[in-house]
This record gives sequence, C-alpha cells and structure tokens, in this order.
Amino acid sequence: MNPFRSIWNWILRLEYDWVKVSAGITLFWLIGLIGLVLYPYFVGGKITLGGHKTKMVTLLPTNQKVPLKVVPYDAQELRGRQVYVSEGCWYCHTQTIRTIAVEMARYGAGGIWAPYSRAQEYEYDWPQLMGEHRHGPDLARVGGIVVGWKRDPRTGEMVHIYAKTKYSNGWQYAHLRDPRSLVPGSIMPQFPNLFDQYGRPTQRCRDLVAYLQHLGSAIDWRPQTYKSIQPPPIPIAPGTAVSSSPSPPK
Amino acid sequence: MAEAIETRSNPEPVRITHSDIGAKWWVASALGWSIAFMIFGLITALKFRFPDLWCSVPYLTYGRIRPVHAQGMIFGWLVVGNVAALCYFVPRLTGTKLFSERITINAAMLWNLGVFVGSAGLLLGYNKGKEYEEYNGLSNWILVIAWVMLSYVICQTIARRKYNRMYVALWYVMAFLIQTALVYIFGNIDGLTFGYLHFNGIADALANWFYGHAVVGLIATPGGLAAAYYFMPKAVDSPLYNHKLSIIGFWTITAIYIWNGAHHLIYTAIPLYLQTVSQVFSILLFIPVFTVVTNFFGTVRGHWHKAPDSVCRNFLWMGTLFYLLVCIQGPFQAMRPVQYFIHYTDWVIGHAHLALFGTFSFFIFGAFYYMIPRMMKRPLYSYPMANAHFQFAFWGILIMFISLTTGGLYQGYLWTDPTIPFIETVKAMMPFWEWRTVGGALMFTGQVLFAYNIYKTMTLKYVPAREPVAERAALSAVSQ
Ligand code: HEC
Repeated sequence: MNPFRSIWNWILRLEYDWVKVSAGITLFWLIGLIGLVLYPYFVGGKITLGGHKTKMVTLLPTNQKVPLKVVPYDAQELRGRQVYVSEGCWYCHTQTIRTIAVEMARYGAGGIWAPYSRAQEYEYDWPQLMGEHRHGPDLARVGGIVVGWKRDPRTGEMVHIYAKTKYSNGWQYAHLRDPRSLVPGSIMPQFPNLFDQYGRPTQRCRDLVAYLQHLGSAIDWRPQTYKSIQPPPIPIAPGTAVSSSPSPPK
Repeated sequence: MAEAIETRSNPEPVRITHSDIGAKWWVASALGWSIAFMIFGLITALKFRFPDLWCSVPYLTYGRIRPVHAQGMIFGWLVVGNVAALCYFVPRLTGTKLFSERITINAAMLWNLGVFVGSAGLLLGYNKGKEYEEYNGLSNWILVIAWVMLSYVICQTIARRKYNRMYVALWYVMAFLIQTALVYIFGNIDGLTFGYLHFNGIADALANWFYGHAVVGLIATPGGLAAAYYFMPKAVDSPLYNHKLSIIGFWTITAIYIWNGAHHLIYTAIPLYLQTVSQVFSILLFIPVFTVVTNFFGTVRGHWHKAPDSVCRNFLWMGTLFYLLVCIQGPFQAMRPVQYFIHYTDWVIGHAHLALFGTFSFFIFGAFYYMIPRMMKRPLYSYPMANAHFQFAFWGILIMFISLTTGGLYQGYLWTDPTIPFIETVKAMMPFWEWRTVGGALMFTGQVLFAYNIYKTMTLKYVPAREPVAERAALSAVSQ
C-alpha cells in the first residue's frame, strides 16, 4: 500500500476524533515554542544571545569591533524605566539600531556612525523595549556613558553621572515639557503632568530623564570632544510676562 | 472525485430549538466594546494632527490610549465577536444544544470584567510594556478563567455531538480555543505570575513577538476562519467547494503560523538564523492562504446571485478578498529588502488594520448579519442601513490602508537618506495621517450603524414595515 495514501487517509479520519485534533494543534504549537523561544534561550543562549554571534548582515561596510561594557541600571533609572513604560513612550520610539548603514549614519554624531544595537545591551531589560513603531526617532543611543557616581541631594540615593549624552538634562526637561518649542512640527505630546505648577520637573520626570541618559551607555562611541545639546535660552518677547507660570518659591 | 461536504444538510435533521442566550451575551459585549474602543482609536488618530489634545489629562495621553484601543479591539471586539459566532454555530454543527448557557453567560461577564480591568489599568498607567500583552496581571487572570470556562462548554458540546464527522469550522473552533489559551498563558506568563517568571532582553523580545504574531495568526485567524467556513456556504446557499483543501489548509496553518514571530525583529540583534527561519515560514504561509481562498472562491462561484442574504455575502466576500491581499502583503513585507524600508513605519499599522479590520472584522460583520435575524427569528431592522455600513466600512478601511501604506513607504524612503532631519520625515507624513483619520472616521460611522442595527433587531418587538421586498426575502430566509 502506498505510504502517502495511508498517511493521508489517517489525516482524513481525524475529523471523527476531536481529541486527536486537539493534540495535534497543541503539538504544533509546542514545536514552534521550542524552536522560536526555548531553544534560542536555553540551548543557543550562551552562543547566540550572550555572545557576539549575531552576524552582520550584508549592508554593513565595516565590522564594528567596539568594546562593550553593559552597565546595570541604578534605582532611579529603574523607576524612570517604569515611567517610560506606563507613559507609553515606546509606542513612538524604538530602542534598536538595525544593522543598516543609513540607519547607523542617521543616529550617529559628528560624522561617526552610531554602532548598531547588540544583543548584550538588552541584558538588564525587562520588559524589553525594542519597540515596533518609529513615530519619533530611535532612542537606543540617545544617552551617554557612565563616568561615575554621585549622591542625589533630593533623594539621598547614589546615581550615575553621565558624559557625552546626546542631549543635556535641561534639553530633555524642556523637550518633555513642550516638544514643539524646541522642534517645531514635532508630534510628540507635551507631558505637563511630569512638571509641577512652576514648571519644574517632578521626581518622576527626573527618573525618566535619568533613564533616557542611560540608553546606549554600553558603548562609548561619540567623539571625545562631543558636547551635549543644550536647550536654547528662553526667548522673552518685549512687553510680555517672563513666564506664564508664577515664579517658584525660594 | 469532488468530495464536497453538504454543509446545508449537515446541521439539524432533528429540529432543536436553540435558546442562544449565551451567544446573545457575547454579541452585546462585542457591540459595546467595539464602539468604545473605536472611539479610543479615533482619539489616537486625531492626536497625530493635534498632539496636545487633552495632554493635561494624564489618563488620555497618546501612550495610554493607544494600547487601550489596540488591546480592546482585539480582546474586546474580535475575540468576543468570534466567540459570539461560535456560540451560535457550534450547537448547530454538532446537532446538540450548547452544553450550558449559564456557564457561557458567566464566562461572558467575566471576560468583560477582564477587559474592563485591563483597559482601566492601562489608563491609570499599569502597562506591562510589551506590545499586544499590555493588560495587567489581574486582568490576565480574569481573562484566562473566563476562557477556560468557555472552552469547557464548547468542548463538552463538541464531545456530545450527534454528527460523528466534524465539519472544518469545528476544527478551527478547537484551534481557536486551544491556541488562544496556550498563546495567552505563555505570552502573559509575567503578568500571570505577577513578575515572578519572565524572560529578559533579547529572549523577551523573541517571546513577545512569538506571542504578538500568534495573536493574529493563532487567535484571530482560526476564530475568523471558523466563522467564515460556516457562514460562507450558508450565505450563498451552496456546499463548501472542497473539503480536502480545507483540511490541508487547516493543518498547514496550525503548523506554520507559529514560526513567523521573529520576522518582526529582522535586522535587529536576534540571531540571524531565526530571522531567516521566520522569513522562510512567512513564504510558506502561501499554502494555507491559497487553499482557504480557493475554497471560498469556489464556494461562491456560480452561487453569487442565489445568496439569500446579500449583506452577509458581501461582507464575507470582501473579507476574503482582503484576506488574499493582506496575506500576499504579509510574506512580501517580511522579506529583508522590504523590511529595510518599511519596518517601523506606518506601513505596518496599515497592514495590521487590513488584517484585523478588513478581514477578520468583516467576517464577524457577515456572521452577525446572518445569525442575528435567525437567532431572533425576525428580519434585520434595516437592510439599507446594513448596506450603508458595508460602504462605510469598505471605503474607510481602503482609505486607511492606502494612506498608511503609501505614507509608510514614503517615510521609509526618506529615512534612507541620513541627511534629512528626522523631523522633516515626520512632517512629510502629516497628510497621510490626516487621510488615515478620515478613513477611521468612516469606519467608526459604519460601526455605529452596525451596532444600532443589531441592537434594534435584537430589541424591537415588532417588525418595521419598510422595505417590503427585502423584508419578504429576509422572512423567507428565516423560515427556511
Ligand atoms: C506621539 C508619539 C510620541 C510619543 C508618545 C513620545 N514621543 Fe518622543 N518624539 C516624538 C517625535 C515625533 C520626536 C521627534 C521630534 C522631536 O524631537 O520632538 C520625538 C523626539 C524625542 C526625543 C529626542 C530624540 C532625538 O534623538 O532627537 C526624545 C529624547 C524623546 N522623544 C523622548 C520621549 C519620551 C521620554 C517619551 C515618553 C514620555 C516620548 N518621547 C513620547 C514622538 C513621540
């Protein structure tokens, strides 16, 4: 008897047996789970996820051999990460620079390309925030490198000090408060709730910005002379009040 | 030897009166949630044009209402609508009563509670931070319990069936129940264990997209196809074209779809072989898609004008065409050279809407227009309104799809020039986003007509004396 014929007949007979159909459905699902998630994680993990085996795709002109130093988040940044998650910044911003030359060029600085994202950089991320939509620019390399620790006078906890971040803290605050005042035509929403009534950043906002400055801290790639972008001085039109909000108490 | 199965002669040689009260609960929930969550979708779309809309209300910022819309439309509308349809046709295909209407109703209430808790949590900022699995742990638990209750009822019904042979819609129902449970529990394992069990980093991304793609492929697809396989032959009053094709389609869909998740991560830091595997399997998807589409086309061919119920036929037919379109687009866009341009752009959002609204929601519309009059034993409240709904939904999704697809392509193209500042590429998208909002508004209008029509059909005590011709046709259809 033709083996294919008998297999086919066996499959046809399945329609009388709902238990076997269910078992088949579950089996196929399990195979997929093992192949796509469990095998890469548990078996291939050491080689593919932890190591440097993520191969370069054709479009890269050079092999970027940059040393990688993954820094864990400090407590403040972890809180900031939570703000980033619950405010849904990740619906507009990705955190992954793909292995595509024009993309690395776009997020680069001073003629130097930004290195593409590497697997180990995500080691401390849960949930991962690689993202799926770029209504705004990628944020994988918006931060800088960690150069030390200091005690935050407000909370009394130890926090990272950063250098060579793309933007200064002040720019980030001003941007979160009113993106269009810095970048006309931006569609990023204002976040008035991250600021108090005097326009000063709240603790949540500080946490968030600390987190942003951490992004991409595993690789030191910006030129040594790089200066973070500062917010422009607030323009004061003659005859108007200095600020619409009352001045903060001393 | 064409082995066509007679779906018409399959159900009800013995006359059973189905009370359908469980199905009615799910119908009502689907209608309510769809309107609510489409409003959130509209606000989200408007926010692209007016970014500061209600920005001082923390609960209504873009990042909070967007997941409410996306999660809500999937778990509040699509899944619920599919369940409503299957509560209607499973008893008819098995020739028994639904095992327990009471448990079905309780499952519906619990499910609604879960969706509500999840959405309210999102507005308050309880977001799990991974796409398509944003609902919080409490909501995850409620949804899982409701799902287990529902699966119990349906499995008991299938096990007690009077017809030994199971029509393919029943297979898809089983796939829908089992895969939703497996996918949902695995995908939300961090929520269900309240953060105790979870992956991190790249593995978390793999798990996330394993789940994220399965939401479309293993939840929406079997649910929608189950309904289409039942209602398509009914709508045009002809047997299914080819039974064997549907079996091939079924097993290939269950085997292949699950492997596609990693194509959301092409060019990122995941292992290269996974990217390639997911691309190969994306192409393989052509097999189930073409079997399904061939089957539906064959079923309709030659029977178009005999349809007792043209609204239902139109929706199912258009859904099938969109299915073909979206399933050709899907493997195409999973290829690396295409991903290069379109990944992260609005093209992807257009694709998602075409699949979930253009195809699977259209199947549900068709199913509802067919089953509600028969459930209520009276004609639809208004056929012109139903036809208007079709026009609104069709043009709405078309406008949205075309604007987002062309816009995405354009933005992706602009991104390939690193000298163009990012903000210029954002400004370039504005006209496309405006058209998208127009499309969304049309879809919403259609949805309101739909909900009103169904609501009136279900609650009106008398038969409205408009449209004598359509009414007569509908009455004869009901009495058949
Ligand atoms: C509606 C989409 C949207 C949301 C939500 C959003 N952004 Fe943005 N973001 C943008 C756009 C568009 C730009 C580019 C224009 C600009 O700089 O304002 C941008 C720019 C940025 C930049 C500057 C990046 C660069 O390299 O120039 C940062 C930093 C940023 N966003 C952080 C955030 C944070 C933090 C949140 C959440 C609190 C957030 N964004 C939420 C759309 C969004």
